Amino acid sequence: MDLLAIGLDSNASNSVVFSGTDYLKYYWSYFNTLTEGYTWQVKSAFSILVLACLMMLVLFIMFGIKIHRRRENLRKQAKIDKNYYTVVRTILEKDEMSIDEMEAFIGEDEESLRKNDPKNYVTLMANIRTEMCDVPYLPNILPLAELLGVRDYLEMNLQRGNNVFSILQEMLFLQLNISEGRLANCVNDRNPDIRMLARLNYIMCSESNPYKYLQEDLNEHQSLLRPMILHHIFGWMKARNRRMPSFLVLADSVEDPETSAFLIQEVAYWGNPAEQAQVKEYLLSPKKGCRSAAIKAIALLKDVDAEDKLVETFDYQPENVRIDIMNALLAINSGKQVAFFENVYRTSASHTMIELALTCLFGYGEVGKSKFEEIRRNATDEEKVLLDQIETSSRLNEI
Amino acid sequence: MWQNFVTFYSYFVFVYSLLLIFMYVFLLVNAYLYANRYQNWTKSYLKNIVDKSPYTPGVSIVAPAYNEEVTIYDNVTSLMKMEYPKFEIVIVNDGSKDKTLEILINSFDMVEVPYDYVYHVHCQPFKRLFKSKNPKFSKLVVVDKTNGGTKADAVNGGLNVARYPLFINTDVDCILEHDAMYECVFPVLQNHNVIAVSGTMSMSNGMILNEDLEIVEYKADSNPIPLFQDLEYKRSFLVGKMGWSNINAMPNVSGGYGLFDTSVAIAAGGYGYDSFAEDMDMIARMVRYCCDFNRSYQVLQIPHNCCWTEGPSTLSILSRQRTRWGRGLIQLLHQHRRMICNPKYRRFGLITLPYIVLFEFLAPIIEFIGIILLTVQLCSGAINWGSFWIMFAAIYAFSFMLSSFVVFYDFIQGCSYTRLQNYLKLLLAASLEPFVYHPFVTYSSLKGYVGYIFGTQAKWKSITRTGTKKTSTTPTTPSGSVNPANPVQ
Repeated sequence: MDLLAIGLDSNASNSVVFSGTDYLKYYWSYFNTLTEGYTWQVKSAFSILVLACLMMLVLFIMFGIKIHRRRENLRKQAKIDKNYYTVVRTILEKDEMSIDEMEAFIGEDEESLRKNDPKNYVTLMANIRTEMCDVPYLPNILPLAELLGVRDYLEMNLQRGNNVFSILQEMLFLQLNISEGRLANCVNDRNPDIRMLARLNYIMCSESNPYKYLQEDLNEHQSLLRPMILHHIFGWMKARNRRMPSFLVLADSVEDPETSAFLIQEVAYWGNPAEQAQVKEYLLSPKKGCRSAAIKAIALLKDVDAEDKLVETFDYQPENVRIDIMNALLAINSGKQVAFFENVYRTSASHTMIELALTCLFGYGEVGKSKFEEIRRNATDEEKVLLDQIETSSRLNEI
Repeated sequence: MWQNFVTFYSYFVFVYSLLLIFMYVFLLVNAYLYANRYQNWTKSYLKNIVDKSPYTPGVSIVAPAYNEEVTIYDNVTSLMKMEYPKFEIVIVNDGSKDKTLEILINSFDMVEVPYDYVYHVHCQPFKRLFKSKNPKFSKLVVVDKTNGGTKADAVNGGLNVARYPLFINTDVDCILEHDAMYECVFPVLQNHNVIAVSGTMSMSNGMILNEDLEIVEYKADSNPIPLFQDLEYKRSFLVGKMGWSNINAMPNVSGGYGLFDTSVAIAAGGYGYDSFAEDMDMIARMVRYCCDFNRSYQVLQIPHNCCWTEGPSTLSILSRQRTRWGRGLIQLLHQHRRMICNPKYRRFGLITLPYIVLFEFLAPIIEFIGIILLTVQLCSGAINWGSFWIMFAAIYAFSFMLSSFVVFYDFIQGCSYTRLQNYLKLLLAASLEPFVYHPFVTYSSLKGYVGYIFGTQAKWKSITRTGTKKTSTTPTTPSGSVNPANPVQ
């Protein structure tokens, strides 16, 4: 084919130098020449055919590369797991060790250990952390990460912006607190997921002001995930005797009622005794969610002193809060509320409340069971069906 | 006149094909974008959070069973092994005529318990409720009810008993991955307005289980009928639904495995008890409810394989299934016709439903007419063979390319299969599909349309189950199941 006939420039020696969009112009002209004389339908079909073949070629090349990379990664990971699983697991199970002690235990120095890809160490440590998920805090994880070069790897990638999302998750999971300055790029990132993870890491990493971003974050609309991760982090902070936030102060300051409810409930797990005593005051909160959360917190704390207040507020609450109150009284199980449960059973118009009252009576120890039997003796045939249902379900649950 | 019609129709089909190709490319790109976005969360970390948190939502697994005596014990045992901290299993015995209920009662120490059954959603009359005396099976509840003729009615029967805020609708013969529940719950945790999540499904026909019902090897079946279906399912999930998920325009959540918000499902009226495409119908109802009450929603697709189901292995059973689906499709479009092109129903009404009408409902009809015209043109010698072969090659190449992408997506999402050779089987199926499988499915769909239009009575019939192959080989990994992402050989 004579390129000059297509209308492209060429230099005197008959070779052509392409640059920029010349390639596209050339192939477009080549295509038009090849399909000259055919209708536009045939040209469209031909172009689809060519593009499909090219895509398949690219795809199969990518497929081959992916297979090769995956096999390489698996091979390297298998080697790391085989050589280091036992020693790393043992180190993480032990009490505090120094880096020198770890080197001696492993039998290799830092230089030799760092020859392996730190990404494989991260996977190994993450797998072991999963197996040891019941332990809230591993004292040797941070020095071990330094020894294996994991900490440097994570910090370097964070600094360069490589796989930031995965890195932040790994840091959170392995509970590696690094310098808070390293998180500076990410704590105000545009991506909400990266921002969330960076700020959650900040809580663990910052010694001076861990809750700097917490209030701002809590004012955003929450998915379920952030409170769940926060609960996890608070557990870690408590295990390390780190400073906890003022849950009730935060609960009062955030606008979202669900977030306030979450913070109130967290008092039962991680709050100090003064805060735990203050939870009762939220029984009179104008927000329904906060009242429910306070009741759940009282149930978790098994606060016997709060029983009277729960019973006092019962009549002023909507049904779902009443359900929480009855479950809380059942959880506290002081033995003093038999009359209250019986009263609910006899006076409530709601089938759900009647059922719950009977369940609470049956689960309220011997006192409750004897009242349950008394009710059964005087029950109509219709009422006996419900009583039988409650008794059978409760006995099965007890088993 | 005739020539004008043929000319018009050929141009119409050509433009239609171009539009369809454009839609597939659009879905392909969106599926890739969605898969990239989804992959970012580390599973082990999220699992750890879910396991330890007191805020983890509970899940009810609702599985209807009709004449499943062959496999019910295996399947319920497999469901019991699901890994998730808070769930219950509700098996709905939908008026089985065989020993399904008897096997459940005897195998799992079930006793009848008095139960005040409340009809939150409509279903055929409830008979009895069973719970287990054995603490090992405390998660299991069996509902015995009158047969309603459809799976939808059976699921409603279980929905009335489900006590958790989320429920999973699955078939009792499906084999679920141990972490399938985590996979479906994660999107709900990340997004506050998710109302349904669809898990990816594949065929279990070629799989091998050990005596403990753990998957030893993930294989594609050598029988061509399940193999074609496997390819079709993968294309539907990994390209179609993933693409729709990226723009929040999912058409359906598969009845084989899907997670739903219980309160929204009940508020939407539950499953249409007479529906033959109950999965699509449910989503249409839930979306309708959310749009009518101005509520934000998301329906998402999980790229990972969660569920393995035994597909029809003979042509007669496959034909019955696809006829029912065709019938269900036309029924759905008729029942929800007011949503089509209605901006009130957002992307579902403006994009998804018009797409279903144009490219799912009309496609078999257009193909059928096209084949007739082609035959007539062949007989009259009026075909330009050069153009014909180029166009045929273009469509064939595109369809094979699409299937290649499906195989590639499956691989990068973590591999459904243990060995690489299974992907070669899929590609072979892709090369033969346009000639063998596709015409058969098109014919079955048309049968379904005709049946609906002429009011032929249709009922759910039992599918002959062969069960999955078992071997005494024990699994090699400590967890007891093979991770298909690892040993690609």
